This record gives sequence, structure tokens and C-alpha cells, in this order.
Amino acid sequence: MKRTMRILILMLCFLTAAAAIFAAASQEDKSGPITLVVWDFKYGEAEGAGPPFKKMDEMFMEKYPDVIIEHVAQPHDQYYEIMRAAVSAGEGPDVAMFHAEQRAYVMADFMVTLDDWIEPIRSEIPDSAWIACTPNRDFADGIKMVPLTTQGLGFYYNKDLFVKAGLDPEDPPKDWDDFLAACETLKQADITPFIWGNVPAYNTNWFIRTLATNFYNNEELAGFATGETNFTDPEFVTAIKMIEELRVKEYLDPEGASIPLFMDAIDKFKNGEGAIFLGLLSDIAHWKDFNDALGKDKVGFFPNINHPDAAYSDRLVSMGAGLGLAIMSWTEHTEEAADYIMHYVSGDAPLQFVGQTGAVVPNSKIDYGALGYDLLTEILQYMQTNAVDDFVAYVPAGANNDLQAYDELLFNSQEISVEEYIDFVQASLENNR
Amino acid sequence: MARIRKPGDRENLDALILISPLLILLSIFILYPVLSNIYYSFTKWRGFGAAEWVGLKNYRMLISDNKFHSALKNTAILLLYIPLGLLVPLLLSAIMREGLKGWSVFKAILYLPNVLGYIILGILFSVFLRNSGPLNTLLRSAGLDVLAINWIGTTKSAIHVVGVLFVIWSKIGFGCIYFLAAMSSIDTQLYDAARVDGAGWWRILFQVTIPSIRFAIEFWVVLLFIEVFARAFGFIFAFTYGGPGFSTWTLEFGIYILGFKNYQMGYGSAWAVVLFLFCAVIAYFQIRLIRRAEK
Repeated sequence: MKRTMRILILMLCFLTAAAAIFAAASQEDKSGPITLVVWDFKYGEAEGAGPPFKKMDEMFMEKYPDVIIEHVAQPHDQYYEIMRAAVSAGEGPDVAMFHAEQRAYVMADFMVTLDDWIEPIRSEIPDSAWIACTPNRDFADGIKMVPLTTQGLGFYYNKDLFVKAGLDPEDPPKDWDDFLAACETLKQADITPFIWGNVPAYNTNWFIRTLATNFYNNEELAGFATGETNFTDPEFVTAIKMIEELRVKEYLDPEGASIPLFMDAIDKFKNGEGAIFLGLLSDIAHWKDFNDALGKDKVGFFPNINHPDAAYSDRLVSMGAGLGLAIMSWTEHTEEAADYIMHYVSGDAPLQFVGQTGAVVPNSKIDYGALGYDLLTEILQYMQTNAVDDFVAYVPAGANNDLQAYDELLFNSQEISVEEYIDFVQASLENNR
Repeated sequence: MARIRKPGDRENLDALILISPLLILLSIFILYPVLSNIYYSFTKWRGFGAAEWVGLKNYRMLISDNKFHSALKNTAILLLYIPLGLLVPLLLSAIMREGLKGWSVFKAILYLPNVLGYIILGILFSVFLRNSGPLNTLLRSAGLDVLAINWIGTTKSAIHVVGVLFVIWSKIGFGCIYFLAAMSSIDTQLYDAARVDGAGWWRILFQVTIPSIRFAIEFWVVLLFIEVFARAFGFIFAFTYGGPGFSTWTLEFGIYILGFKNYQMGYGSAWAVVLFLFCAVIAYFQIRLIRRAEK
């Protein structure tokens, strides 16, 4: 009996000691300055967003000396898994960065509704960006994040290679026939017409999303969520057949079917190994990236390929907001967090971000002209007049992931026909709705 | 009058107290997740927030889901590589046991995959084996165009490349060390006697070496089953990311994509229940093997 008691007392001592150590470690000093914990997946970039974010944090802490920013660089690949674990546990950062899309909005219930907090800066940012910061593109749902960048897709082309092939570098292809003719001319001149990287199939996914904007209006695009618009629609099938025709005619870089977009294909375009590339407008693989690599006057842009069967032309796929900052519902420092996120998208701070990274910030007070990139001015013009929703905002995450998997089978390994592809992706869309 | 306890009762109580921390931890980290996974497999759940009870819907979806069919087929194909995953390290270790000239260098080379780890191996081979990668460039420059196939770019070849690299090649190093250790316990007089009786290398292998390390071989096979069912994820994630299409999806890779990328945690849980059943069958045979060896 004595031995049992001794064992019990030893175990009790061990548990008490462990609990005391744990409690001491987790005790927060309430008397000092407030610490705001910020998570994002860009902070770790040594040459990208990291340095401007550090500077922006310093600017904030100078302005608000009672707040300490603890900015945590989370891994990009696993960010949403980590964030979801935080949401499941009900604790984590005070402020978190998200992509303004479904991956984030499934967690909308755990984000603070910002409508009242952002009132001081609301007019500086266009509604097209704010609405992308609502879960269902509806202001009635409440604004859940502030838009740090605006994002979109478009076609960049290498003017030197256009000249080399005998094409007019100031006159990009106007329609589908023009585009095919330009690709053929480039091919005949031994220039790879189109650089892409499709492992995994991001590039064809971007292609489909871009072409879709010329075929559908915003209401029709929203129909992908409700069932009113489908992958079996002739418009969608035409878009798929356009990409397939480019592949069959060998205008797409044959290497693209076995290399990743990030960073292999992007680097190939930056190295001048091909004439046209479907890139982003912000974040990475954008105007600044390509202008800095190829020369400021050496890169052209056009927003879309205009098909004769499409209802619209020159439309630019726009996510409204690319990256955003949200305040998590469990924070005890909502006011300070609101000051912080507004500091990131308004005033002097965004200039740091734009100037160093090439991101496009949706704040109308930013003087982009001062950066000296004509290409950006051209893109901004399209953004103001021709921007249309991205269908990914309405397609369930599972269906979009399946779409990419079937893209690989159609465009990379060529193991299914367009008809089979359409059947498969439609079935997936219906299962995921 | 106080009841007199038998010495055995006290020892049992002590034992129970001593193992209770482990029992608590097992309940929290094994039993509870397994039971909650079974519960969530009957729900529509995003992985957080409220779960909606959907009955057998997830299991009905499994039957018609070609992703699931593909994952099952691929898992079965990987299982077919297990005999080779056993034979190759077994033969190599039998050769090395003889004291092959410079064998310590071979051992170091063979063990290299274990040092690098699955993620690094996956990334390295995804570059090395791409259609325009170094291997095909080498083959084409050597005039062997017929061999320069699209190794991981087609559904026909990708899963077999995964089978060769993951089930066979990546296990060679550890397998050789494991079998060499097992062979070192064989009485050398058995070999001498076999040689005196005129037995050749193959006969010695099949009639002396293999019967002497039978338990080690059985355990290795069980280990390979576990590797295929529950540890291929890291390699596939880095190597092919399940592609092209779903051609290298396995059950555990599917669980990850469905649960963590598609926000279909309830449906992914149904996949996990299927995987759990497979693993339970393997565990049952493993326990039987261990008990037989103890007897």
C-alpha cells in the first residue's frame, strides 16, 4: 500500500509541476504594451514583400508606440491548413492575411465584420475591391477584410521577339484569328509563341478564367455557384477548345506540360525564351517583374483573346482584391487591429509595398505615375474600365481543384478528349455545389 | 476486519497506475481521433464550425467517385511492388553478407535515400524525370529516344514510377541494413555445413538464409504494407502531387486533398475510415505474426 501511495504522490507532484510550468509560460503580462500577432505568407520573402512589410510595421509602431507588432512568417504552401487549425482551436493571430477568395471565406464566421471600422478609409478604395472582400460578393454579408492588393490576369508579350518575327510590337492581336496568325508567325520564326507551365495545372486554369470573362457577364459567372451556368455550356466548351487548338497547333511551349508555372515558366518568359505569357497583375509574375527583367519598353500587354462567338471583348479578369487583411474574431484588441489593417492600405504605408514589390494596391490616392512604368498605366486603365469577376469566386474549391486535375489529363498528358473532359468537370461541379 | 489483499492484486493496481498516463494519452491521441473520424464520416463538415449529419451519403459518394476508384487502384498497384521491395534488399544484403569488395561504399550509396528523406527525393525526381528533364536529355543524346518516355507525365507510367521509387528504391538502404543485421545472427556453421554438402549460392540463400530470418522477412513485408498505406503521402506530395489527373492519388493523399484543400472533411473522413479498415487488417496480421514468433 505504501508503495502505491508513493507512486501516486510522485505522479501528483509531476502533474502539479507540469501544470505550473505550463501556466507560467502562458501567462501574459497585462501591464505592458499591447502585442498584436500578425500571420501572413509573404512576410518571409527576403526580396519580395518581407522588407516593405517590416518597414510598414515600423511605421505603425512609431505612430502607435503602445502597440508591438509580432509579425509571423507562415509557410505559403500550408498556410490555409495552419489557419484552419487556428480557427478550429479558436485561437491564433489577431490579424491574418488571406487571398480574397473561397479559401478564406469558408472561415468568414471567424473574421470580424469591418464595415464600421473601415469607415474612415472606405472612400479611398473602390467598391469593386471592397465587394471582393465580402464572402459572397454581397455587401449584405459584411466586409471581412481590407484589400491589400488588387489582382487579375492578362497576356504579356515580349516586344523584341514580336519585332524579330516581323510583327508590330505596338499592335497586339485583336481577335482569335489575329492571335492564331501571330502565333503562327512566331512559330515560323523559330520563336516559342506561348510560354506556360502546367504542373500542377495553374496556367490552364488561369487561361480558362481569363477566356471565361469574354463569354460571361458577372451574373452568368455567379451562376456557376447556383447551377444556372455550367461547364457544359457552349461558351465554356469554346473556351476549352481554344486552348486545345493552341496546344494542337504547337503554339504552347511543349516543355510547359512538364514544368511548374512557379517559377520555371515565369523565369523562361523573363529570360526571353518565348513571346507571350499569361501572367498576374500583382503579387508575382507581373508588370514590374517582366519590365525589370526585359526592359521597361520591351513588354506589351493585352487583357484577353477575343473570340467571334464571345459576347464581350477585351475583358480583364479581376479578383477585385488579391490579398487582404482580416481581424480574427477571438482577438481582444479589435481597435488596435483595425488601426493596423487600415495603416497597411491607406496613407504612406502602401507606397512602400507598391514601390518595392510591384503589387497593385486598390487605393485611388496612390500616384502610380511616379513609378515610371507605362505598362502599369495601361493595365490600370483596363482595370478601371474592363474588369470582370473571376469565376473562381463562384466555383466551389473542390470543383476548381478537380478542374485542374482534368486539365492535366486533357492538356498535359492528352489522355482524355474535350468531350470527356467536359463530362468529368461538370460531374465534379455538381458534386461540389 | 480489513480485507487482506493478495500480493498479485497490489501489483496489478501498481501496474494500472503506472500505465494510466499512457492509457490517457492513447485515448486522447488515438482512440478519440478514430472515433470522432468515424462520426465525421457521416457528416458534411468543412473541418471547422458545425457538422451537418448526412447519414451514409459520403459512403454512397465513394462508390461513384472516380477519384476514389483511382486511389484504390493506385494503392493496389503499389502493393504489387511489395514482392520486389522485399526481394531487392534481400538479395543485395545476401550478396553483401559475403563481403563484396568495397561493400562499405555500396552500403553508403544504398543508404543515401534514407538520409535524404521523402520530400527531397520527391522534388529531386520530379525534376530529374520530367519529360524535358536530365534523364530524357541523357537518353536522347545517347540515341536511346525510345527509352525517353514521359515518365511522370502520363497516367500509364506515373504510378509505376512511384512504385519503383517509393516501394523498392527508397527502401533498399534500410532494407539492406535490416536484413544484414538479421543475417548476422545466423550461425556460420550452418553455411559451412551447407557448403560441405555441396550447396551453391542460391541453394544456401533459399535453404539456409531465408528460413533463418523468416520472422525478419515477415516483419519487413508488414512494414512495406504500412509504408504503402500510410506513409507514401510525403513522397507523392513532393513528387507528382497526385497527378497527372488523379493517376498517383492514394487513399491517404486523397484524404489530405479532400479534407484540407477541398474543405470536404466529412467526405475525407469516409475515405479515412476505409483506410483505417485496411490498416486494421494489416495490424491484425502483424499482431498474429508477433505472437507466433513469441511462441
